[in-house]
Amino acid sequence: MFKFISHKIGNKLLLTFIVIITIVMIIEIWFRIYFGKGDRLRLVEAGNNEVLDTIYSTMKYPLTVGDSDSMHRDLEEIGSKYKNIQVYLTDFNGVISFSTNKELIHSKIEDIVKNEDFIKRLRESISEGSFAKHSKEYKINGERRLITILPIHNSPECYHCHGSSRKVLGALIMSTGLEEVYRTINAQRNRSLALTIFAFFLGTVVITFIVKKIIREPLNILVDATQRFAKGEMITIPKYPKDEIGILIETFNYMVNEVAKSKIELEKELTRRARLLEERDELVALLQKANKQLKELDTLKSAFIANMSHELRTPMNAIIGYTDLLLDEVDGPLNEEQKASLRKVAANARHLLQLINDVLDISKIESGKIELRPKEVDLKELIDSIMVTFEPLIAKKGLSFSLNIESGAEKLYVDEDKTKQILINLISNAVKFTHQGGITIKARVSERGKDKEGNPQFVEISVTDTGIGIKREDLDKIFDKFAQADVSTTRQYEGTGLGLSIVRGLVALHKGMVWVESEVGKGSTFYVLLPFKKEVFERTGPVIEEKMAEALSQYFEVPKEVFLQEPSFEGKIVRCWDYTQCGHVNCPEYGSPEKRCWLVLGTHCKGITKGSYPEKAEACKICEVVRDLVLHKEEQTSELVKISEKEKVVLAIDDNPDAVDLIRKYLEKEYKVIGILNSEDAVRKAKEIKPVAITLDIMMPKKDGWQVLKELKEDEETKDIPVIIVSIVENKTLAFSLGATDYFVKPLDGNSLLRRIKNIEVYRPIRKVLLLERDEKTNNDISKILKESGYTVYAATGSKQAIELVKEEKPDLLIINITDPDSSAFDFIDFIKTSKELKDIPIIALTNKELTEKEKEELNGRIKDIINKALFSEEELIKELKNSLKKIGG
Amino acid sequence: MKRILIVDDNEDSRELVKKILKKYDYEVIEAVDGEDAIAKAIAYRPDLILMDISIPKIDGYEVTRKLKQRPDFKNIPIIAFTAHAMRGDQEKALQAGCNGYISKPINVKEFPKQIEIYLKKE
Repeated sequence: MFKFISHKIGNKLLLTFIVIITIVMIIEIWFRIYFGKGDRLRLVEAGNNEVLDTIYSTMKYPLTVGDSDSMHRDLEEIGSKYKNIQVYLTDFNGVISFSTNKELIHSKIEDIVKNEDFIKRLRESISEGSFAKHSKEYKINGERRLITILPIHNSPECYHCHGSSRKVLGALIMSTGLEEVYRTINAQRNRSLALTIFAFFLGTVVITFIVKKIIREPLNILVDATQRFAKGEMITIPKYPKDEIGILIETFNYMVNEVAKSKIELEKELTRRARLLEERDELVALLQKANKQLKELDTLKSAFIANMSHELRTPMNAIIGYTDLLLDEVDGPLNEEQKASLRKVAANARHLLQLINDVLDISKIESGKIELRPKEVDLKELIDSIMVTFEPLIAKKGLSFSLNIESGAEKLYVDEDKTKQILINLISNAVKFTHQGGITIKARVSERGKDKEGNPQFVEISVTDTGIGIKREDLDKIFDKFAQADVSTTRQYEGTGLGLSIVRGLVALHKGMVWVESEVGKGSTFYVLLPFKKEVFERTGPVIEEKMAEALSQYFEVPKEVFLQEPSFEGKIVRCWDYTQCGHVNCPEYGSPEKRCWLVLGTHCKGITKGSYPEKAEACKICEVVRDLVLHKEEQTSELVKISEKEKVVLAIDDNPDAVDLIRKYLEKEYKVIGILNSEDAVRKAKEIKPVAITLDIMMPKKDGWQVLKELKEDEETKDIPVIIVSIVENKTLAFSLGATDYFVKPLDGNSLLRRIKNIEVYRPIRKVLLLERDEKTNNDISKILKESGYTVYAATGSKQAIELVKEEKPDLLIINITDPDSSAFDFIDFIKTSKELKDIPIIALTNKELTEKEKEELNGRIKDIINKALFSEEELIKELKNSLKKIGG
Repeated sequence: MKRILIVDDNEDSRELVKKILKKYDYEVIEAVDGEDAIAKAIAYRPDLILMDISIPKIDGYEVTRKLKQRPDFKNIPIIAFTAHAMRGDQEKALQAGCNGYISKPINVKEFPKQIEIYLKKE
């Protein structure tokens, strides 16, 4: 009920109104009764007085003259006129002399007006004549009457009959019935009451209506709207008269509009961002897809081109062969015209063949199919062998040729065939485009590409001609495929347009550079950097220039060293051509026909001349190489570590990826095998992933297996990891003396390797032992023996103590007497079971009795050995315990 | 007269070789696929075999391997004769037991000289 009121403003108002109306009406009624009655009575009294005075003045004369008849007549008249009024004239003895009721004459007034109070009053009046007039309400015969007493004083006119001794002669008494007055008052009270009740109901209805119309309805609308608004609906309320609620509603509408406005803005912004994200994701997905497709396409293309090349060369064989045969006049003599035509056929066929060969070369370079076989090569000998083929042409064109090899530049460390190809391409271009003057080849030790100590590593070979030269705007393009500088020159100077592209690719493979300087009409100089130091091929980086690495490190907020390493995956160095174009629009080479990273990052796109783009570091963010192999490499390793927490990891150290794969195949059902190909990294990796076992190859470059084994066994963190040698060489004595756990000779028997690893993996070396034994003597005895045997012992006599110890010390073995009288040992075992890091600790159970089935079940799989104390003497018990420990691997 | 077996599925190729070699007084026997090659090699006992690699039925590597397993072919030169020009192809041929490698298209002038050298080596 109070809730009903307190929850609705309308009801509160209504209640207030009702209370007010009720109070007002009660006051009104009370006033009406209290004051109304007095007023009426006074009115009646006044009337009485007046009538009495009139009667008195009318009677004065007849009384003086003794005209009784007139007296009787007058009173009778009054009596008949006012039914409500009775008038009595008494003498001083109270005997009625005249009355409106004739029958009462001579009766005693006491008998007529039976009220003692009145009688007393009348006596006082008559005997003393102390007051002029007296009016009072008396109850007579159950009837309320207003009685007025007017004493008739003796006066000189009366002396003639009554003498002068008496002061008062009698009294005129008028009695007026008051019932009428009271009825009126009651009727008025009832009317007021009725009015109150009516007002009450009317008020309730009106107030309810008004409250409803003026307050409750708009408030409800407001409340409803607010609730809906709170739920997120942008609702406004129709206009409302401008009272306080109207203002409230207006304010609400204003607020909703503002919120709606900002919500719309927000939504717009959100949609915009979502769309951007979506677009970005789509773009990334598209790019990834495109990249994948490109890679697939690339492989396909390589295979296709290799096949095509074969298919094209086969008919070329017949064309060139038969043409040559004809020219040899094997089938009879030819005239000169025929010979000239056939020579043209032969020349074009050779050109076509060159084209096919170049396309094949390009395809091989681009798909990374070329592997260099660098060795020491004598530059002069190499150039001489090339020049043999060019000499006739040079002589024919009347050109000069000079070769100048400075000291220190005599020897190269390169792939001979590829270098030959590079130089043939450059020299043939020089000869082709030069009509007068000559060709100069120079070689000197280069200032570029020095190693960390500042020692030179590259020879700079320049091929200078005095030919037609290259236009400035074409200089950048000439290393692109099919980009002979001027289309018109293609006709004049036959060539495939692939030569320089091949040169760039081959030079890049040698980690060198190629660039050109030229002036139209004066000639060109092509420069090539080729290594003469073996170390160039061995170095693991940097493959990008230092300032590029700095820019990248600033951009990605990682140390610059990250970029100064050759990207690798699972220990294997990844070459850039495993990755195709980045396709990022900000890439300086975006849209160019050549989008491949020749070498990662530093030599992005157009060969090494544009090797460094520090200002374009941002472009690298989308580059797959940067993302997958440089930046997220660490995450990958940490992922491996994460997996290793759940899985058991075996680390296979072998420089041969196939051998690692084989081990992985043998062990993969039970173990995750992480292979590491670089033995120099092995110890670090072992520390990082903490494998359950390591397989180790012996014959490895850089650092052999013996060295790795020694380091593993010397390091505190790794010395406990069992190492199994898997090698072709057999030297078990050395292996075991260095601490190897087992020795397998290749070819490897996979099953026995798996068995062996499973075997040793179970037995973690036991150093710390926790003993839970309630009996102090037994506890001390066992502790002592264990300590003597070299174990660290944590002895506990109760499970609480044991839990604390096990949490703190993480022992390798638990020896628990499980037959405590209160079986608290089982509580302890339960606790161990629930803890992730403790649940694998092996347990040896001691018992005093045979275990029940239930107990056995509970211990199932948890206990490595059960020793029944009751079956052994003390000595035997200790022996048995030692045996047990041995079995477990302590 | 030295007898040479030319294994090639391309008739023009075979004809060309035949024509050149005949000029130099060689007896030329032709085989068109791997099976044919093995049969003819055993039947005719040539002094030299020119072996195309991409041939039907059994490829040139396999034919070479099979022939080289026989003691009577140990000393008979088998020359890979192919339009595959990749470095790996040469190696694969040598691994299969080929004694040499001549790539197509041939140089009409050089070809007889190469053949002569391989025959002399034997």
